[in-house]
Amino acid sequence: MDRRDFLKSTAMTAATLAASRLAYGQAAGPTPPVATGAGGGVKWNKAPCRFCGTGCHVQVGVEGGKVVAIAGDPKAEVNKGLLCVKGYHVGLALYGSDRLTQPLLRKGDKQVPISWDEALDVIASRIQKDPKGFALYGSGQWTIPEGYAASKLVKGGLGSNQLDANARLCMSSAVTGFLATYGVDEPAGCYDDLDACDVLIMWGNNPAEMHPVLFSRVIDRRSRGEKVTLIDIGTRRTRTSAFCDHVLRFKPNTDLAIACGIAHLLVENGTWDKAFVDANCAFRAPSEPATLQGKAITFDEYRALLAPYTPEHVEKLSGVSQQDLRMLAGLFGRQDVRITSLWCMGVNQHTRGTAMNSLIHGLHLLSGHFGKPGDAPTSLTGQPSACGTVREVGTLAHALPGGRVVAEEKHRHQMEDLWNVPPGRISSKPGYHTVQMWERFSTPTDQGGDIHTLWVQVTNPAQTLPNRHKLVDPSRKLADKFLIVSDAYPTETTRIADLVLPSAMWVEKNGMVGNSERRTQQWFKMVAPPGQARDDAWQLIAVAHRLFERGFEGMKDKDGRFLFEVKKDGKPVPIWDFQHYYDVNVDAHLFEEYRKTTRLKHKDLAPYEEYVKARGLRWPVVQQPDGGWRETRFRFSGFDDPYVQEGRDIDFYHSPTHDGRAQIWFNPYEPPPESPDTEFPFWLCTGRVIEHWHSGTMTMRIPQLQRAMPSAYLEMNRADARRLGVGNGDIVTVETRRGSLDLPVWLGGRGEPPEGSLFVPFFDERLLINELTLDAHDPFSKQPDYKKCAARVRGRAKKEARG
Amino acid sequence: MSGAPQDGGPGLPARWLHVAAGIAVALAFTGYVAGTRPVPERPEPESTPGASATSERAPSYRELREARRGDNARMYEGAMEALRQGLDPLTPTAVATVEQRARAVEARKAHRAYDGAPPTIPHEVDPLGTPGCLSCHGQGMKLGERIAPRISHPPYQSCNQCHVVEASPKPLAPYPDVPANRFVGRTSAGGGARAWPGAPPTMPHAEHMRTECASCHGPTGKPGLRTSHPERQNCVQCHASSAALDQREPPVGLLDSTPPPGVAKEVP
Repeated sequence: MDRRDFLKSTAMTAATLAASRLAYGQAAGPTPPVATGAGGGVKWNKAPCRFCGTGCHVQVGVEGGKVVAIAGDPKAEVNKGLLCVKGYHVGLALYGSDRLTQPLLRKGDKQVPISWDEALDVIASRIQKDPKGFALYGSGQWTIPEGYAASKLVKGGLGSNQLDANARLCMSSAVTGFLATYGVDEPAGCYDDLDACDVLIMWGNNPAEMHPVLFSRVIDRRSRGEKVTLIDIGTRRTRTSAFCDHVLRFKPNTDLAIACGIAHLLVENGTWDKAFVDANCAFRAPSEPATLQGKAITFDEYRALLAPYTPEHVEKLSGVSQQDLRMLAGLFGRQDVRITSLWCMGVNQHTRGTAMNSLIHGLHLLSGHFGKPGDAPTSLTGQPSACGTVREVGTLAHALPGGRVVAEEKHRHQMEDLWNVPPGRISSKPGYHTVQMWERFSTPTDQGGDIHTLWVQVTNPAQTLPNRHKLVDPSRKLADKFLIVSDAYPTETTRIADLVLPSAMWVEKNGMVGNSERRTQQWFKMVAPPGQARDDAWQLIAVAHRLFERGFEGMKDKDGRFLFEVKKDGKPVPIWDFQHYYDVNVDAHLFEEYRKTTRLKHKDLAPYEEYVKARGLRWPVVQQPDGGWRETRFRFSGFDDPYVQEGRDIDFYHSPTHDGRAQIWFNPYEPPPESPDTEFPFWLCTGRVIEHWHSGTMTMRIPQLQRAMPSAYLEMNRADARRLGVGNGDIVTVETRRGSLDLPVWLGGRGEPPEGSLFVPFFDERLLINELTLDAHDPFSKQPDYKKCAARVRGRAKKEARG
Repeated sequence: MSGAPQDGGPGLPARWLHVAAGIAVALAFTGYVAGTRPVPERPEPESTPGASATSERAPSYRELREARRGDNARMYEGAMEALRQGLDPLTPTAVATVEQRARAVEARKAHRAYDGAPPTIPHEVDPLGTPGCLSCHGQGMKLGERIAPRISHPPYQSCNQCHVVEASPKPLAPYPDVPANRFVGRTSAGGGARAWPGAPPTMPHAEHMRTECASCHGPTGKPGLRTSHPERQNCVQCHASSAALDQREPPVGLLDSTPPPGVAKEVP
């Protein structure tokens, strides 16, 4: 043992001790003064990045109570010391000069400052008016403890299920795809596949900009002399395309035809993996009426259903050449290469999203490219805890924590037991999914609009919901509808809110999140939030306690105690009073309670203090005979997953058919709900850019990012621009059947759509493209399609964008 | 080959014959040379199906202008090596003055949110294609008065993952009323510690992503940061890195996974 190892091990022991003290809410004791050397005034601490679902760990440098520097965390397996430009500037996200610092209540046209005490009273009164008409809307930016508190408040406290999250808009088709195929949510593989794959297929995906750290994890292998074949299957040329060996352009919505075409060739050429399929899979097709379970079919029926998808036919539908289709089928047919598929919003924000997700899983299963390092169908997420909070805690209208659903009596009883609330407290009736929730909120009460109060946390729906004219704006004209918004910055949503609550963000509070590869991550509060900004979890608990004080039955457990009671030394701590919120580690208490729910779906989580020590752990995290905790990298694979039956190579132990088999789906190509026509001749696609994250409320306040990508723009093909007579920088009007928007044209910019296609990024709150997109959604996941609708472009005055 | 001069007196016909033969030789030679010269390759249409018929047409003047716009557009396609000016690592440079150093630190701040942040790019770049950054920044380059610093870390393929332009790409322009940011970044730590006057200073910054010392301290570095002894290649032989700055060990009394003292309880 050398000096470094010794130091490390001492540090580890001490960290564990310190962590357990924290977890149990005991003071950490006096700390010796810190020696300062060169730059030694800066104290470093770990945290996952605030932005996307990759889950990079950063080191946060704090000096004088402020974040002053960020570094990539070399100990983090996800990013190995590297970040992207957003990650390097994440610390600046806290310091925009217009942070919200006090609660604001709308009085007439103005929002006027009020105290937290008044704000809590306002919310409690709105809830008491009609608890069932109160809805809570969050996102994958909720930390795990926050999401759990939200679920407990609504489902265990109010006895309703009016809780949903904006993750509905970005990954719910991934969830239904996983459920339809494996019977349980979330990827089997992990990022380690990116180090081992020989072929990386990106389905409608631009990771060079959206998941840059994962993308460079693959392409940097080329610098080390490794050969990785990159294949871009997309509808426009992107930065990712520039790195790819094969760039396949397809016509929007025909990705289903491509997947069926590959399956057809595998079957007809006999290159599918018969042994793997015989041992582990079954076949499935859509049923009448359509259900997520579909109907079982035989291999011969599967083959017959695929028969129309000949290379000739698929070429005609999709525009992808027969040669390229055969190339893809050839790769899937080879057993000597490892293939990883990546996809994100292109496949999910799709009216056929569930079907397309299932088809990609199906290709990997049919060809046996599954369950070995480098062989994986991996869906990526866009929010830091879309997986950890929305999918695992289950902050959705139909769900309960740990993979449970409200429709199942046993599941309700399990949660009622854990929460110690009377039987029957949890309602069996699912609440409204996102689009319905907002529709009901925007419908007059006497016309069936039974949501009267909506509380939004950690998201910006006025910017990100589709078809805002229909879903959001009408509610603002109805006197009895009340919108509450918790946020760190003024947004499109806070501007139209009746009550605005200032929130603490990122390292201004304790937190835990779960990334795209099943990795649960933890961080501590490092700096104080500005003004009266407070933790979102505290806000939920404080409202619950206000109701409790007023005698609201739902906020009491069976024994009459407060639903969120936290004890220290046998005495309840008044955590509803923010002065005492950090007397204990509330996060650790909520997490330890939540952890008990995670065994049902074999998504076992370790105790809080294990996450304090680690740079995240991938579930299931299972305790070993020696007392240590071991994470799982390859789920369902016998060599790694402890829940696989002894002796089996692969075991889908949550199979929808309860026989250890995953389902290989056939799903037909169908035309999109809206296609270009003579009136609206263009395809319109929306998406992101590397500089900005989500609706830009944080990244637009970071000068380096905002300067590099200052505003939204319209990307179009040069040939179209020439035909319309518009040049670079001209302002044009983009119109769809739902709205219109003036945008500067950027030719030769960040991407290059083919002729007849347009692209507009959605981050810019001043140029809201989502007012133009469709609200048609996937029948199973209810996820809307932001990626394709029909549009037209009208030229306007020629001038540089805003001079 | 035909047309060799013939024996015998050079009569008029013979002279004509010589001339004709000379012309024939010249023509044959020209033809031969022309025949062996490689025919300039016609641009191949992209083999991808996405490339529609339009990719074969000639670009318009406007497009050519746009494509060549910017300091470095298409630069890496040219013969950069020929332009590279000599950078002699063996010539000792003058010891930096305090003023020079201050100027260098100030100049660095202009392109960085904090000491250690990836610098922003002070010139235009191709917003779409594979970045060609390494053609200048791989080894570092001096071209007239312009210096392209050598990258300070091992090369990554996707440079624009971390480095973005610092001026808005045309035709986009920032909104005039974007909220300001109050972030105050950590500044340069100053010089390293010396055990005694004349001792080699320790590294005052983390080594992570800054392993190529020549990036700032070599001949292409700013005058105030250059080493006086660029001929010595193994910097870490004399200049010790800091385990604390590199986060290789927890600072005294503070473990890297616990909250900073007092902060977790702090209430404004």
